[in-house]
Amino acid sequence: MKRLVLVFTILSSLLLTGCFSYRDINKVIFVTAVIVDINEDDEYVLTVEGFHSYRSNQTNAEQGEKIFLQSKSKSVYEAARQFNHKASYKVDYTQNKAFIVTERVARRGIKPIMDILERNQELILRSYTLVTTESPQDIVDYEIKQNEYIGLYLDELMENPFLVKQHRLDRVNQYLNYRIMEDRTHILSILQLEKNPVSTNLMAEEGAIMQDDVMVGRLSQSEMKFYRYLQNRIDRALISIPHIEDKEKLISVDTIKNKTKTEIEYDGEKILLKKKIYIRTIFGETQSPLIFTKENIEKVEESVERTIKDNCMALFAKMKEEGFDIFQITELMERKYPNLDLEDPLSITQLQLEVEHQLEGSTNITSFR
Amino acid sequence: MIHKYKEKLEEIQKTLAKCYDVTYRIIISDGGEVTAIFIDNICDVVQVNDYVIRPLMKTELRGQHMDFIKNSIIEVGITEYVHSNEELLQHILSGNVVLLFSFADEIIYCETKKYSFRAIQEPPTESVIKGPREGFNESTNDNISLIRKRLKDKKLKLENLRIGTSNHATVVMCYLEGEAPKELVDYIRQRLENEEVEYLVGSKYIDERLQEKRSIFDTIGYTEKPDVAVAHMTEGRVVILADNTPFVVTAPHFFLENLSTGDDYYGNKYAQNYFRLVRWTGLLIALLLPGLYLALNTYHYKLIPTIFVFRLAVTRAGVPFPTVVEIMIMMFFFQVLREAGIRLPQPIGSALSIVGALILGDAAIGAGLASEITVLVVALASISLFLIPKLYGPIVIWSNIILIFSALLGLPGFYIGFSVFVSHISSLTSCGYPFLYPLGTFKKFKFKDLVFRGDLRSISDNIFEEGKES
Repeated sequence: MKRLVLVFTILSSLLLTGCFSYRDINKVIFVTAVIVDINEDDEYVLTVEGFHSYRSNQTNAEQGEKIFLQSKSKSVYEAARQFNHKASYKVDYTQNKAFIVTERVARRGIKPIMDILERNQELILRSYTLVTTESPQDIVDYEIKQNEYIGLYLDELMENPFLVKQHRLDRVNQYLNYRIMEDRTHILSILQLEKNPVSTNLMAEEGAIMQDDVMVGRLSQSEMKFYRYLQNRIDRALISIPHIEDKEKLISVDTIKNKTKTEIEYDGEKILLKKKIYIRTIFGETQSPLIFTKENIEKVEESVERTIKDNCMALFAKMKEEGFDIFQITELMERKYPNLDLEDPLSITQLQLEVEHQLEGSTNITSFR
Repeated sequence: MIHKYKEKLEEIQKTLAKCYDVTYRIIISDGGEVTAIFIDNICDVVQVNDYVIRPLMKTELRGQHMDFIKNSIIEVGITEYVHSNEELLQHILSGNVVLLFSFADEIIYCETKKYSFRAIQEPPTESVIKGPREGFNESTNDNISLIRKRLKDKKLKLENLRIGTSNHATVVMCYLEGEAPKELVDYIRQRLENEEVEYLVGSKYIDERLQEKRSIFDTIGYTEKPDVAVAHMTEGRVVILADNTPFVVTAPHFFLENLSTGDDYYGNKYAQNYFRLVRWTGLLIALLLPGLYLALNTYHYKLIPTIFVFRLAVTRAGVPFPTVVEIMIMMFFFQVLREAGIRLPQPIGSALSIVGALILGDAAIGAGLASEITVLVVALASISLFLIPKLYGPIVIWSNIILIFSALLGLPGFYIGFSVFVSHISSLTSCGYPFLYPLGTFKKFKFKDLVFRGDLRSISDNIFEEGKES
């Protein structure tokens, strides 16, 4: 019996494993980022950023360097396979951190490339998925200062505790889930190069509205912030309001806690999307002195509530007008009323928004005199 | 009568011919000639002179009965008649003096043996920081005295089992009656008495008689420390002492005992528990780390953080061999160094080990035979082995087996290797008790000394329930 169990264990271990084989770690090119573009001939242009280790005969030392590979084909899988004709070692995707598609690809639709993301065993699902408005060449030419690798830079970006509370990049597995929800709409971050006189930086603050795997619109940085408030996807954010005594100056409050509750109701004619945002803030900055009286605090609280409410309502109205169900109304209706079959739930939806703001106070001003 | 005396003497001289150290001392007494036969380098010559030869020379023997000579003239504690030729030779070869009388048929022997023994010293294999320093030596009598000193208990039984048809080695089975299970005592007695061997040289013979299955693991324990032997007896185990070895066999012996040291019971409980945890970790590192490193390094890169993957790849870039060969070369180098360090005299050996490890490791990296991380992994695994010296051999071999499984199948191979290892040690028994006890056994065993040391007030309690009933 014991032998039978042992034989069974060995056989099942041999037969139930995936396709992999022995390969020394230095005989592999590790991909850290994948960029997918499409050319005029409708061919996918696949650009990968990778790490390659070798022993230099000039310096007589082991080294690692960043390399880029590019190939094109009618399918992404075929293009990926072509790398093995060009690279000295096998191209391995197990360390891939970012899967980036150009706006051109996103506008045409990423459905044809979703299968390879899901099916391929090497492409790990935890890599970030983004849309870029830049060309692959610009990204390749961009000399990143904070990390040599774009993929690793994005990974480090998401480890920045301040940033990660403001917005998170979506991973491939998250997108794979959202794309099959009832509304089939999701927002992906847009990767952009921000050029200023001092340096060029990579930013991922705007959003690409993906509907049925096709990019149908964009959200600005500010819209993304209020979208996240509405969708309960933000922990920290800065809100600036006009100073309550001097309208030309600003007061900034820093969100330290946010909670958004969502309810949906259908009365036979219209859908009521009820959102209640609770936020707790601390006083960040004032450009003009402000006496911290109870009355003034209440005024600041009201002003912040109004700012959030106005922006959220404006965003909702815009999306409703354009017909993008980024608030997952169809999905919420499907869950609450599974037997109800509505043609276009978004068009009959009204947003009822309540904002409850609590200003907790301010940090101390320390004098070093 | 004289004729028979001469005949007997000649027979002994013929049998013990070409033995220069056998002394035939002829004593002329008023009753006639008496010959004292003894081997002077294994007997107490002063005792022979003062309490055997001198009384025989000074006292009137004529007409005296042999019982009178044995009981009243010879002044040695143990003096008895010899009944057979075989017994006679055995007494001479054991260091006793044998007396042949020309005027009597009886032969007498006197217990005068005195061997040279090593003094009681601290055992080098089980040194402790805070505990007792006494260790067993090669004398069974000394060893028994060390046990009796600690265990003044009427339940202590010492059974003498003579093994070795030619050298008649003394083997003493010690146990506490009522504590040791009767089945265990009977089992050991039967296994040892039913086997015939010509010469018993060391305790390994006993160990091998009691092993039940061929395995690289020792399922019979040994100790050089009397306090450990006594502790084992109080738990209900059996201790077997043999001539000419300081290693005392303890049975049954369990796998987990290899992870405890004498200091566990003499030091601060919490600190010692931490160190025991370190030893457990050391066991896992020594056994599994090379295999796990290989599996991750050659099959499952996705489980390694990216920054470390890059580093691993760069450090291995100049190594021409596959990782598995690289690890095996380094493990072999380490074993060579260890063997050289042990076999050489201690001052040179330790210097060689340090210099060898430093130079060889550095040279191997420089020559492109190994990467820094592989050297680190092998060094860590090898050093961890020193935390568990009793398991050194088995773990080295099993570590290699798991390494080969990992090289063939990656992590599934690693799991298979580990499962086979666990299956093997689970299948072993020690004198009928599971070797892995108390792991994987029912709660009928009482054991308070598993991963962490229990309370000392109850730690020496009997571990076998049935022992109490017998």
